[in-house]
Amino acid sequence: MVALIRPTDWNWLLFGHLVAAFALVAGVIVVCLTSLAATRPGRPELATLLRSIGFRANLIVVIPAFIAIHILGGILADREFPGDSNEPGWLGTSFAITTVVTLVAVALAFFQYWTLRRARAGSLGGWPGQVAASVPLLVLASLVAVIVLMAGKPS
Amino acid sequence: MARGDVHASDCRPVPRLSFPAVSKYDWLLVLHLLAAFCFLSGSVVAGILHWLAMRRDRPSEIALLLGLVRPMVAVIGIGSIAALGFGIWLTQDSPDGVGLGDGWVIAAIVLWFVAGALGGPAGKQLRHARELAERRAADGDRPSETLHDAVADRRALVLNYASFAALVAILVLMVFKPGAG
Repeated sequence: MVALIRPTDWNWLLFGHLVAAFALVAGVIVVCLTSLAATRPGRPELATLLRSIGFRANLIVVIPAFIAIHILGGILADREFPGDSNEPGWLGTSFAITTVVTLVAVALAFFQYWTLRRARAGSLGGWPGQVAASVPLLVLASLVAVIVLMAGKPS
Repeated sequence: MARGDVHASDCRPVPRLSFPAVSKYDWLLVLHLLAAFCFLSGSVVAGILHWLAMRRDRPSEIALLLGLVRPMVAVIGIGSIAALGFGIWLTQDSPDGVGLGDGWVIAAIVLWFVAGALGGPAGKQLRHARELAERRAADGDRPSETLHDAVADRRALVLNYASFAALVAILVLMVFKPGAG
């Protein structure tokens, strides 16, 4: 029910786009869970482990999935709505949000690396850790907004 | 053809909710898709955390990682039921004739039950492993072969992989709709 009437060969593109989207949301949830759990008071070596997992999940899953979504979504959009003038508002807005959030995810990776280095040096608290814990939640909220736009197609 | 075109060529009035630009069908699609994300992405998250736990030796680390799976169990449960419910509702309101009796819809519902039947026992084994890890963590936090075997239980792994394969098969059916006109 995700796609309605599309030529069969487009379905592979849509399937790839959706697989990337599911992987992206999963990766962002892992980053959220580990980043939030790392801010809880407890044993510092566990917080370092969690920050390391969050950083790697962002680097290995989230950022590549964002790139895959951009590429496959762009190809799909070009086929379904050829020419810039045909592009509906919900699609342009979704692309804009996704592009901004991709840049935020890249910036978050630098922040996570910094926070991880601080944690390994024994410094667990402070605003960098709070930022690294709260930004993934914003990324997740933005993704929910994009899913609503892509599925609801308000026009 | 985009769905907008399908609606434009459909002579029946399109029911609308409070957001004037979105039809009832599209709201149902939004909810169905959000639930599917909870179901599938939640399962991927649980799988990643389980995989990470298998690679650790210290019970406290294993307990921590498997403990993070707990909130995902609720997300997966709610997502799975909501995805099924909104999916069935969508077939009642489908503007392009998709019905509950279509082969690919029936196959998807069967696979939904298969995924649940396979994932349930695997989840119980994972809970047992987490509880064991918590006890070992409180009791000296030394690596244990019993705990390692419980986390990497072969039967649970096979069930988890089979359950995830069923979810991927549902996604394939949703996209390709074999047999649909």
